[in-house]
Order: sequence, then structure tokens, then C-alpha cells
Amino acid sequence: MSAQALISTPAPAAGGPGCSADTTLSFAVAFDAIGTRWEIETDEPLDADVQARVKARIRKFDRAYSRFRSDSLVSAMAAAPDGGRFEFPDDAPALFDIYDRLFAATDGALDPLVGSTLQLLGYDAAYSLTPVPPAVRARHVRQRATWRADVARESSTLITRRQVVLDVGAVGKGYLVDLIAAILADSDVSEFVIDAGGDLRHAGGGETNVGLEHPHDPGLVLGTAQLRSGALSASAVNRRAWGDGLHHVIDARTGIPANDVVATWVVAQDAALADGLATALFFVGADRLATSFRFEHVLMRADGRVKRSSNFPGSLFVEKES
Amino acid sequence: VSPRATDPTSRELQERFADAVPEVVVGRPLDQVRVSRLAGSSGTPVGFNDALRRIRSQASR
Repeated sequence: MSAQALISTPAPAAGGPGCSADTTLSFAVAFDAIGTRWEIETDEPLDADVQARVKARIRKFDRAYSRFRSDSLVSAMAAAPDGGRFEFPDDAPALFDIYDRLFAATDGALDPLVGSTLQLLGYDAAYSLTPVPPAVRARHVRQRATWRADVARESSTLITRRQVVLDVGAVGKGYLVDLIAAILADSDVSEFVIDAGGDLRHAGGGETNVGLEHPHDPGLVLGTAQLRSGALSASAVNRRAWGDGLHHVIDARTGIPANDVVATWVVAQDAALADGLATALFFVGADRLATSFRFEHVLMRADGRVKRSSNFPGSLFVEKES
Repeated sequence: VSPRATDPTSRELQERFADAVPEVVVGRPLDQVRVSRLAGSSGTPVGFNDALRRIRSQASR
């Protein structure tokens, strides 16, 4: 974490161009953590001890799950040639359960062990952004470890027999947003929005208006969502891309970045699910996911066409074709 | 596709299928839309953006 300006200050009347603050959420704290900008807006100032608990929880998450720091549990797993037992925080089974469900619902396309493939594509701890040759990647994918076959679990402990590179990129940030939401709810904060760079969670009686950023033009909004007592997660591949079709949403079965869908938005009960489903939609149709999960979504394909589910809580700025 | 049927049964059927038909997005400038926050690719990790800038500056040398 860096630049921890965790001071509860009155939220500005306007949060930037085109932004207007929610009327009931007058207080805000903002800070950078796990590589993203966080904003927590509340109806009452956040107590210092609550802020401290939030900070401590994010640190604990980072120590366990970061693929980008050498002292994390994930780095220890990646460095163990014959595997081992790795004890994650007590709450971890809930995170692992979501990965079980998403792995099953996508036939293994969404696999948290995709970390090793991401490394070979150049999305590594040093951010080399330099991929190894396609033939090397293909061989690696054939011999890869999978979440189902190569990781055993005893509650919050993961047991491995070979090197695995866990990457909780699909669900982790949303999951952490839920943990922070639980801290706020525990502390009797009645209305809040947590915004962790595209993973949002709202609680309370009001609602918050969210602009859906156009993936090809950051100055444009392609629609809005009204978020009320729930979570919204966005995923887009265009800006986290490093040349020639390489980006961070990888089909674990092929080792190849998804190329049909360019951006997704999912509204669900909690942020972990919204985050995971926003990634799963790059691999599997919404109809199939809807048999296992309750969610609403908007999806943009590579050809620019946009699809939304009928009960998505918002509107799109579209030209309807007749 | 706007549902056009007035008969309640066929209208319901049309609405059910309306979401299956892709629409062409036009987008609106940010300053013309009232929103409190944004969701999209702006959530790109700080480290990634730094690395991308580094690589681009190396490539342009």
C-alpha cells in the first residue's frame, strides 16, 4: 500500500467532470492499496479505529494473495518445487468456494492457477510484459496444474504437490470489497459506497449512479447503472493490454486471451460474485451462467455491439436497430 | 429492437427476447451524464500502467 491518506473528509460537491456526489453520502476517504485507487463514501464520518481496521484487513489480504510481493503466501506456493501446506486467512474458504463454482460453470476456463500462464505472457511480478514464444506457452498449458486436480483443501489451508501460481485476479478484489463492507456494517455504518477501481459495493437506503465507461474512449459513457444495496463490477481488456492481442483475461484451457468480448459489467448481491462473473462472461454465455448464479449484466463484444440482460438496473445510450 | 406488440402475451414474449438482440452503442460525453462514479477499464492497476509507459518509452527510443 502507498499514499494512505485515510482521513475522513467531507466529499467534494462534484467528484470531477460529469460527476455529482450522492446526496446522502457526504464523507469520503480515499487511498491507494493493492495497486488500485480506493474510495469509501459514507453518510457519517468514518471513525479512526474503523479506518484502521479497514487498512489492516487490506494489508492482511495483500500479504496472503499478492502475486507481486515476494513475502506473500502465493509467492511461497509458487516457490515450492514439491508443493506444501499453505494456511490462508480464516475467511478464505468462501473465496475458494466461489472459484470452485466459477471453475465448474466455465468448464475450467476460469481457473485461479492461470497465474503461471500470465507470467509466461509477461504479466509477471516485474511487469516484464514480454511473452515467451507461443510454442513454449502451448507446452506449458498442456502440462499445467488445475484448480480441480492439483490443489486440495482443508478449510482455509491449500495443499499442493507441485509448483502452482495462484492468481486471484478474477474474484479477489471484489472479495476484499466484501470483507471491507462487512467491517463497515459491523461498525454500524448505515449507508456507504466502496469503490475499488471498478469493483463497487453499496449498502443503505439510497442508491448511487454509476457511469459505464466506454472501453474504447475513456471520455465517453455508454450507459449508467443505479446501484442500490448490491455490487457492481466492471472488467475490460483493452487498457490492460500489452500488444498483439495480449491482455489479462486468459482462458486457462488454451492459455490464450479471450478475444470475443471486450468489456463486461455485472450487478450481483456481493462484489466477489460480481467480480468473478464479470470475468466468466468473457468465456461463457450469460444464459449458461444464469443457471448457476443470480446476476444482471451488460456486455460489449469486439465488434462494438452491446448486450444487456432485461433486468439490468440502468440504461444504455444506444441506437436501437429496427 | 423496441417491443411493438400491444397484445400482452406477445408483448411479454418480445420483451423477453429484446435483451438477446445486440444494440449499437453510441456513448455520451462524460460531462453530459450525471453519475457519482465510473466503472470500466479505469480500474487498471497502477503498476501495470507504469510498466506499459516504461515499455512504450523504450520502444520509441
